[in-house]
Amino acid sequence: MYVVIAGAGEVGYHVAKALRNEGHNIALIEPNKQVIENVQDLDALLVQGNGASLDYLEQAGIKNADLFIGASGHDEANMSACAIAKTFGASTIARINNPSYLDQTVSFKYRSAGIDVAVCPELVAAQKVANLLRAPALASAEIFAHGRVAVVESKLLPTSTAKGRSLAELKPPSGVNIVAILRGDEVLIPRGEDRLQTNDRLLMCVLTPQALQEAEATIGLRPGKQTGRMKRVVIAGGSRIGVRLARLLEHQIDVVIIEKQKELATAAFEQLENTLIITGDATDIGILKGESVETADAFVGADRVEEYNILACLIAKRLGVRHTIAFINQNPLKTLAEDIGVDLALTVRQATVSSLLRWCYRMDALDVALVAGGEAQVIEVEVKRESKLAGKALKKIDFPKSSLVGAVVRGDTTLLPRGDDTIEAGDRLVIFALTEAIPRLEKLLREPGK
Amino acid sequence: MRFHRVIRLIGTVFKVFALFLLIPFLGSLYWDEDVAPSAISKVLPFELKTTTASFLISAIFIFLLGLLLTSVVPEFSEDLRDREAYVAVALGWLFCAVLGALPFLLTGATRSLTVALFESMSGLTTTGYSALPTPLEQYPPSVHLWRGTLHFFGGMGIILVIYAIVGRLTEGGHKLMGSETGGEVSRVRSTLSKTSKSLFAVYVTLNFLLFLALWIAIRQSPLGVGWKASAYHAIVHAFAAVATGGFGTLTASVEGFQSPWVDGLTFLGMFLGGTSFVLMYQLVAGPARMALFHHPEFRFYVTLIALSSVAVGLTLVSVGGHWSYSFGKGAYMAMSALSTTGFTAMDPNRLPDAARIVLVLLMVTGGMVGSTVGAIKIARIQMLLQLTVQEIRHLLHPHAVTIVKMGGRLVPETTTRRVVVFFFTYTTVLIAGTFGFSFMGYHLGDSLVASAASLGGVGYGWGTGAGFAEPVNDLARLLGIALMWLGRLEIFTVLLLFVPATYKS
Repeated sequence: MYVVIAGAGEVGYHVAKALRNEGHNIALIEPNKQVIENVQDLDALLVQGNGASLDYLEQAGIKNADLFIGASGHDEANMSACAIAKTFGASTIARINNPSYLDQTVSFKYRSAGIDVAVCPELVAAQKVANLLRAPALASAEIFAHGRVAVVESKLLPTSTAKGRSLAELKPPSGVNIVAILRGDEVLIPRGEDRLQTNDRLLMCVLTPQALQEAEATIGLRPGKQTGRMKRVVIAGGSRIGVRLARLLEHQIDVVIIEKQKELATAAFEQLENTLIITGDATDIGILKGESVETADAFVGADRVEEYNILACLIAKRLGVRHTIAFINQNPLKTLAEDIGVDLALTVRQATVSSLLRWCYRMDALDVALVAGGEAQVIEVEVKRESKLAGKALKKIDFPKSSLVGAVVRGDTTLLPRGDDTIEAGDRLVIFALTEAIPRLEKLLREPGK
Repeated sequence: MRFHRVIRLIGTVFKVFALFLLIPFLGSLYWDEDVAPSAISKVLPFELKTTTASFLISAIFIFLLGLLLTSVVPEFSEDLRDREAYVAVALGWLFCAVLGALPFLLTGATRSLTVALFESMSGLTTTGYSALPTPLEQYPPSVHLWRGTLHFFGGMGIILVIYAIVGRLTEGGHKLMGSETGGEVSRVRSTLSKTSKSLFAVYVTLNFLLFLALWIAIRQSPLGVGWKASAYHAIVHAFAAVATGGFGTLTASVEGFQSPWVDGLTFLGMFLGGTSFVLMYQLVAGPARMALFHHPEFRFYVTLIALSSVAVGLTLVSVGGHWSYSFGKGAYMAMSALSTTGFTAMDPNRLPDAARIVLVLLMVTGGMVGSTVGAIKIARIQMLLQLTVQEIRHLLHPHAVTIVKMGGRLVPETTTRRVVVFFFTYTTVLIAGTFGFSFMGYHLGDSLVASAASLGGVGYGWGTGAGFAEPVNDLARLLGIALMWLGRLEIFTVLLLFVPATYKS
């Protein structure tokens, strides 16, 4: 596939990188010279210029493109660029965040205007946090198959008895399937003989919160948070994400937004129905105490400024809030923020890249999540009736080496597959795969049976 | 202040107003059977009935007056100033009421100036209080038609009718429209003239459909009238219901028909008359996403009708009324009060005190903004309720954003301030009116309803507040006229007339 991407910021870069790793040819258009400098390591055509300009699009080879992605931070630029790209016959995907354009995570309503798929990554991110708050035991989880399968990343405790033992000896409880070991920057697909080391993180497919707890206890993992029902959530920052999150939650639980700027606070007030909006600084202990933040079950730092989010979360934590979630901009800060006491640090960028990638695949992935810092993906697909996979035993299928079927959803049952299990038409597979395995996986899944 | 502009505008109003006199004029040709020939028939080659001659003369006189006013003043094209709009509208309504009184005097329906003026003002402001001596059955059909026509003309507002018919009046027409409706100008289509035409079309359609239904219902009612007579009863009641006026053709109002069908149809008419015409237009012609039951004001309106019907019904049950009678009549009286119509389906004197206080509150509340009702109107009451809730929130959370929201949109502070001030002024005038009537010897309850029903354009009451015919004196009628005029123009437009600064440049 030849893919033209407008915008080489964090989002454009990571989408390009993921697609390149899968073997596609990429052209990037980016107006900012400095940004171009930063992405020199990419094996791609780099064009400096306006991504919505016909001339630069032609320079980037839009005539031959199969796919165009408007991935810049400007909704209107992405939309008009898609409209132009469409005239050359490319499929188009636009990143659109302004809620007045789009109020769903994905929409096809702009198709007649040349935008095949309009994606709202901020809403995806907000929805993710809302899901986490509704199922707090599965913190930092990616949810698949309507909540029936969670993919959880969990760190081995220094005191763990599992250190130095092989996975074959571990025998994780039923309802848990270890799909990857993350060691530093490495991603290992577990073989029976792999031995666990200090600071390893495990990526697991989990079916129930109870199974996760059991696994945490027997393997010696840093325990996830356990609470009863969430009753009150405080959100620092009336940014678009904060408002969208509040909107998803406000009819089920009490939501408070604390926003510094009066205009943003007023705008948030207008968009929400059932949320208390406080004008004030969320890092001001007086304000936090005045609104009895300590009685909240969760605190979310959703401002645009990451240090503000982290600080606000730390203060809330100190005041006694059990769950703190901070939105950050730089992915590498995630571990730092989590080490100093924020329960969960999330990047919007990661959600953005995932949600754009999800629409790049033609194998009709139902859902895609980027995991392990973007090195790997978890994909949910449905096995078609005509697929050659249907009716075959798992061990007979020639899956790429760096991929693994984590869970199979069949009708009302969900199973964690062993090699002898067979795949049936209509099954939904949750597959873990390193990015380079994606093209082969895609080919395999699309191949028709005899 | 440029008076010539005001004069020119009023002249145009007169010309259109004259056209509406053709309705009773034509009606008198068809329906007036027992009316004596007019004195002027002697000098004419053909015979004219008194009523026919009266309406014809009035129409010609008013039209010529309008022509005179518009021809002596040169046409102007600059923008109208705010104060000119207010003065033109306030005086326009007053002079229309004065000229509308003419036919009552000429036809001999009354000889009293105040009775005629009261009847005319009550019709125009869609109040429905009558000052004509009872029984009402003694008047020829054309007089009733004129009373109904005044409702029809005043229901949507004079300025809107003129825009719908003439199309263009002056630059800055929004100011005129705003002076008539307390600042609310609906923009459902691209121009004021198109908006007016669309809303007026909804209004006329409702009137016509209700007329057809009532025509049949009244023909079948125990009143025992033929198709011909039933038609004029139906026209007057359709005009009165949709315009939420309240004039009827029978002394006992709607109760006189003794027909559940007539009750039901007029109830529906009042309900629709109290519904926003903008909303109804959008339901018919607008985007399909306009979900009726998500419209906050409409929901409130319907809920209020349901709750108050039950409340009034229960009070009637408590004094020994039969269940179905109590809730049927209770709902009717509540709907009539809330929609500021003034039809009655039972003798209001038989209402217990508990029902009366509920009904007075409904009279002060009124229906939806953008409908034909008077009084404070539901959207304003909703804003006041929200202000109260927000004030409590502010006490609990001093830093919280506390802004009034209607239908998901923020209401600017200038608007909420105007609503608070309006509420204060309205209440003050209401109490002043109550004082006035008490001063003339009314009981407190009667004074209160007379004041609330005049100011809100309702037109039914009890005791001495039941009507303004003899033995009520001229002074009380003048007070009633003043209250109706103030209430219909939402007080401030009239109040400005009496502020000297209005006339200084």
